[in-house]
Amino acid sequence: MKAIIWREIKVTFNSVFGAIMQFAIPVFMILLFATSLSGNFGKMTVPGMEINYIEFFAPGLFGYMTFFLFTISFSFLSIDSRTGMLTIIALSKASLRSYFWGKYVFQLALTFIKILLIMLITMLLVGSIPDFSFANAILFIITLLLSVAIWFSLGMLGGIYIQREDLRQVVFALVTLPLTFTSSMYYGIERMPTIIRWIAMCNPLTYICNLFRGCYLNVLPADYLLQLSILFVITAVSLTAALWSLRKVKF
Amino acid sequence: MIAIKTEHLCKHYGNVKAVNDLCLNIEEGEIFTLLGANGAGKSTTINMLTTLQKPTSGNAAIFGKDLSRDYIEIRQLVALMPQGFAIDAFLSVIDNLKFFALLEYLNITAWSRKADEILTELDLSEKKNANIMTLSGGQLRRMQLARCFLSDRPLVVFDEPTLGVDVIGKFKIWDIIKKYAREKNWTVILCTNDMAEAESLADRIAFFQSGTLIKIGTPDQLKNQVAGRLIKVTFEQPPAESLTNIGDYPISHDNGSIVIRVDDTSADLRPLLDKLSELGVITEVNVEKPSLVDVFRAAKGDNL
Repeated sequence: MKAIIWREIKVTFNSVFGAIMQFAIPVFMILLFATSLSGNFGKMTVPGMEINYIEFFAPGLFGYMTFFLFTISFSFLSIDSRTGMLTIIALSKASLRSYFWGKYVFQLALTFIKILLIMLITMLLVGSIPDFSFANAILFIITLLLSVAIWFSLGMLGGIYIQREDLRQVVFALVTLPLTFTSSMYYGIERMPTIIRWIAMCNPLTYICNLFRGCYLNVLPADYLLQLSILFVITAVSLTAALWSLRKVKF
Repeated sequence: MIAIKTEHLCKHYGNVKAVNDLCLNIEEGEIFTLLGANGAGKSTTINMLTTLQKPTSGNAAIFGKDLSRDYIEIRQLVALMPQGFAIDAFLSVIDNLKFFALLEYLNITAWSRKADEILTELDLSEKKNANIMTLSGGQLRRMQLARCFLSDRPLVVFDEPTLGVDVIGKFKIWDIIKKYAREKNWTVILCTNDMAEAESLADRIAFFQSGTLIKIGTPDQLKNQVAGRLIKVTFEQPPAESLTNIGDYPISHDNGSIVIRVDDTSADLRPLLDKLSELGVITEVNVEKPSLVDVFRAAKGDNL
């Protein structure tokens, strides 16, 4: 696993541009996108209080940062498969499981740093510090671990079974946009049309954003344990499927 | 001692028999070459022997380990230089090697010294910190060799190691492979469609065609199996292409010359020479031993 983490760090931060690339999207989304929308949307209502849209959107962006791992792990596995790096890893003393966990740990750490950065910018923009209780902080970390595991595993599964580049692009188009728009990332699902609300309730990103938002704003939904349980189940299924599917990797 | 033994190894993709009923033994310390055209089943064979693909049927033993059962142990015995470069384009030469050393749990201090030695030997020390994208095809191949040499495993598999490399580069790579294989007593499987490469490196050669092993032996044994001599005769005026034999001897045409295979080396050639001289003015006569190309063509059933 050490080798994989070392490679991830080297490849990601090999140059200043690499580091900029990693943090450009979250910074622009909170600085430009959320700030612009906050002017249009005004205040958002969450149970018990009215908040600025930036504060509402920031936890959604945490969820999006984990969701982003779907495309990242999907693409990197496809690339490593095509370039033969997976063959080299499979025949080494490390294994494909080390590859999986090494990448997971690195992406988890990187996502955590991105989330901290978003939090910092949000605090600077809004001028207030989130009121994290210890319990909420723990729940926040659990949500982070689960959501990274879900999207990372699903991306790996895609990379293992979908080799064709054109098909990969189709999957990205059919998954990324619909899932973000049918979740609570940008807005609450209560005001969505009924059918889209039903879709949103089948979307793990909804629960991820709800839990992040609940922890961050200290307004956990009444059914947060149910939402957390749903995430646990999805994590267990996707992780098991991805780890089992590693033996199906084509060299 | 036998390093690799395959028993009726098959790999089928639907109706396509990529490898069919392969039975062979490879001795420890031997450089064994799989030779054949593209799609002949060479790469599929090495993919099965390196555990990267499961056989459809049959089995093999690699250093006494059962291919179907002990595949994890077998992976620790094999170093593979794949046909593709299998190099991380975002890492430098030395970082690619370091990544591999970390994958192999090598001691980093010892590794670093060894990597320097190997890079010097492969004329890559100046490129140590270079971006992979700046390396030529030959340098990339040598970098792959460096990775194989670092691993120090008893079975080394080269899949087209000089693909896309110029002639001088090929000589260099062949010399290095030979040197390391002999020094370290590696068992080497070399997969190629380059006859010169096979002839230069192989202790034994296995010819593959359409997934089937059609001939096996040392280069000399194989050449001797194509009996006799090849006589190439060039005329001032090339004979008609319709000419298919001279007396009892079948002939083939080669750029205006005719090539005659004489199986019996003790035969009296005067009647043949008389018949040849009747065809016109002879400007050149060459008598050659069959090459590996001739062996391959004969094995395929082509008329020489």
